[in-house]
Amino acid sequence: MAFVYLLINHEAEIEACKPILEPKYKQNYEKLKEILTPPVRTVKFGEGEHTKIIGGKEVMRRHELTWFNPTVLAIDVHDEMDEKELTQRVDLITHWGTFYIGQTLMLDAIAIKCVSGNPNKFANTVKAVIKNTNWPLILCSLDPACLKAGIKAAAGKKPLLYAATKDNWKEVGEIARSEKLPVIVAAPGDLDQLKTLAKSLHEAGVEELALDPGTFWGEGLLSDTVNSFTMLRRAAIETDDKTVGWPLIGVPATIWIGKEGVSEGERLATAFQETILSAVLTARYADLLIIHSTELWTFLPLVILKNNLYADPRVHPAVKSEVMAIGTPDQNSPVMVTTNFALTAYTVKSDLEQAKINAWLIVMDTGGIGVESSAAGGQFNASKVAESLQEFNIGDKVAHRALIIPGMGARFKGEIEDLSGWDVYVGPRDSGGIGDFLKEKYRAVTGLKYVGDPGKDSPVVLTSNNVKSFYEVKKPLLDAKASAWLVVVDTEGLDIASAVKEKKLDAAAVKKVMDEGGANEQVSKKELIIPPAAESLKASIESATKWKVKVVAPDKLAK
Amino acid sequence: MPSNDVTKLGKDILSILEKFGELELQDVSLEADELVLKMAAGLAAMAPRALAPGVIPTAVKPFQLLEEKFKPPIQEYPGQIVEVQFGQTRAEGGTRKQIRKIGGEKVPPFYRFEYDNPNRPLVTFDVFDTRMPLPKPIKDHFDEVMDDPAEWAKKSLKEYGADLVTVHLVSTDPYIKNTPAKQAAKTIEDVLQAIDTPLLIGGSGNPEKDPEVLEAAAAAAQNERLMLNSASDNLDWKRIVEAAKKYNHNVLSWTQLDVNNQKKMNQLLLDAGLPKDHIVQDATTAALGYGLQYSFSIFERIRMSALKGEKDLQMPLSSGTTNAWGAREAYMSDKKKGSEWGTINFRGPLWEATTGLSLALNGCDIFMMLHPASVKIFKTVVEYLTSKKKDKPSPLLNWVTTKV
Repeated sequence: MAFVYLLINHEAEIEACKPILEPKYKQNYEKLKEILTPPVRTVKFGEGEHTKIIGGKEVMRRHELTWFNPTVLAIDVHDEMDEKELTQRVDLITHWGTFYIGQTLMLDAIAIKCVSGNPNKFANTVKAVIKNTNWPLILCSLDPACLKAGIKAAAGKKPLLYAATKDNWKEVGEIARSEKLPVIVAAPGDLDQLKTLAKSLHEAGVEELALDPGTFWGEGLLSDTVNSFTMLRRAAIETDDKTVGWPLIGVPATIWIGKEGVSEGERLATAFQETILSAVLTARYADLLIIHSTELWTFLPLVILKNNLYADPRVHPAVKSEVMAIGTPDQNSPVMVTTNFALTAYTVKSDLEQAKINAWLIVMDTGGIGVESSAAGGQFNASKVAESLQEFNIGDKVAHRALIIPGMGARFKGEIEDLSGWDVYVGPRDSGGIGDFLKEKYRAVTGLKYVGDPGKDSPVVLTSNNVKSFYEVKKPLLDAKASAWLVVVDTEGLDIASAVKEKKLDAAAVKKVMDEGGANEQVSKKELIIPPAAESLKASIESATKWKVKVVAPDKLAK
Repeated sequence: MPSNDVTKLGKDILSILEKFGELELQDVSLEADELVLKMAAGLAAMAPRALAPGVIPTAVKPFQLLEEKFKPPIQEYPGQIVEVQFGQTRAEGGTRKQIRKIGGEKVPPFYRFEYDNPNRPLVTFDVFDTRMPLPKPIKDHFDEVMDDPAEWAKKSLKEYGADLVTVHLVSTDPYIKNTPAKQAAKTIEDVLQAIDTPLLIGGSGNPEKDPEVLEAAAAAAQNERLMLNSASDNLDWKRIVEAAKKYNHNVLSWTQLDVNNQKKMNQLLLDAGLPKDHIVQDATTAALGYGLQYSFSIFERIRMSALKGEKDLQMPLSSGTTNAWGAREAYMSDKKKGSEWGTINFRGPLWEATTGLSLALNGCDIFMMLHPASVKIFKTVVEYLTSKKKDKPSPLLNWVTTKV
């Protein structure tokens, strides 16, 4: 059964089952082979670990099963680029990547165009590219002599050929057949011709084909293109037309015809349009795209779009609900909450790791829905957050009661505080900003604050807006269910000792907080408790506030 | 050698194989040249492991043109999407000089080989009733009108080619400005005065406040046939539906990425007496990179079920495409990410346009958008996909020799 599952998922080939190759099973083998051959056949090019598989589609719509073999993104180079330009371009194409949900997304292949019409020149360019990379290649020329020269230069690389057309199909077909190479059939805007050529080539023994029905851009023309792709795919899959059951090739690079030497503005506008055209074809069945633009913003949406659309819809997007220890967190490390949507959880984790932050990350069960949608849809709510704090015993892991929630969940702050007894700090909307947030904004609220329900005789305790200093005082009081007033001074996030040393905490600042909070009116017992770290300020605070100052270590406070 | 002998030989080899599992071919004397075609067809397939590669030459078939006709794969669809109208003219009891329509499809989106669907997808620009923290590329375009929703709406329509606008009454949120519902309704009146087209009315997203706000706005715009955004299961949607019925508006039926929930919400609205052609559905737009595939497939499933005859899903679809600006790829500054992702001036609009177009290709009819450049390319693509006119095509194969 396991093997059958692999077969259905195109993760194994039937030939891997040796016994079935025995002659007595011939009939069964052929039957299975036919059943397992997808309505859009697979075509392979490139060699070794860089082999690319295109096609292999079983369904029109990804929700009906999944789309196998993500669209291959090939970028063009040509044989009239000088060596330096060529090397730089190949370097950019083969090295660009972007990190996304635990993997680096990259481009896939290089299309080498023969612009010169000169077989030697083309062969030299192919050699120069191969010297720089072992990426899969598409050799592009309508001249069989050039293709031949290119193939010779790329011996053993199994390049994909572009293209067999109505004018050269016999010669190019001969080459593809004798060299056992896959070939793209191009018949722009003429599906009868495309089908005729595909059938003729296949019948003559060319074993691997792909179809380019023409990528037009313009009024009414884009419509023809999208309709051609749609019709070809539907014919192959839903009406079982085997003659068109081949991978579909889009060439958004056609948008550059006649754009040699255009202004910078027009160049960028064309790159913008080419990217959109590529995106449209990625969503409408293209198995491989040949693209010209190499602005980085042209790559980014396409690698992510193809990743998204080719994600297997049968796989649930949720990750396990748990507490992740990011780095080496301890009892003073921040506690954060996010959703168990795989993308969110991975993104937050990787952002924290990249910023070298030690933290406790609660991955809360929102049914695999991201923060924005789950906050709107109710899966992310205050009681769920409070329950998660309990469920994972976060209170035992840390010596504070500070919870950082995503910026998109800001409106739950009050309710979470009421339900959990934790203080909620609203983090950034994007986890990429957590590093800055921790440095600049993760502070206790300053002013005259309180724990429990203090009255006129309750103790008054000094602390700073440094999270560690603040909870050194607040947490023992909370645990003892004691009531007290807290004088929280803005020390720009420094703990008491450092603040005293750096002169960010002095008697005037203490007096200001007490005055603004109305300490003299609220409290009759004029005594301020300060930590040992601030003992040097005792006399100056006494003289500034006219209150008595008593030094008590935070861990003795509760008594 | 006569062919039946070859067949016999084939059978013999087969029986030998079955007996011994191996065959030493050198013990058999064959005139290979004579055997070529027949063996290729018969023997080779029967005893693939016995024959070393190259022993039997493959048949060299001629290259001959086999004429074929491509038959467009046409299908029948028993269902049709209802047409929803935004705005009413004076003759219809409203005050709009222009009206807009979406829906009415009989075939999947842009399947012009089957039929030309009647209405093209529309773009509605987002306008907010208070200054909002918007990404820089958007703020750059609207900064001077962001304190005046009417001017903001006018600018979107006149300068940036919006088909209509959505006025989001965000300031009514108790946590933002807590603007009273009456005052919010006045904003809607002001914007209606300033423009000829219909508009859509968005609440703040606060489930306690929205019903009251939408009700007041609906009353202030009686008979204009606007849309109230939105009825969802986290608020008192009945109040919104009653307001829509009383003052003649459409309602957006909003759920989160679940076909069954969408169907249920639609059924509730229908059961509450709202006519089918007064409902638009929004199954939630997840941005490119942030779950777009869920929206992509859910919109597609909804549209395909509707065409197959599922009556409770036969309303036009709406997308909050603006969600794309929540993607870091769209908003993160060049300083932080430009060296890896390229300039935000292009990647931001591309993000929004790609998110929207992916859903347009799967049946979405109306798109809430924010950036003029995304709207421009979006509308260009829609024009290219729907226009009856045709540009002159390029000699396409010339791309191979284009020196760029």
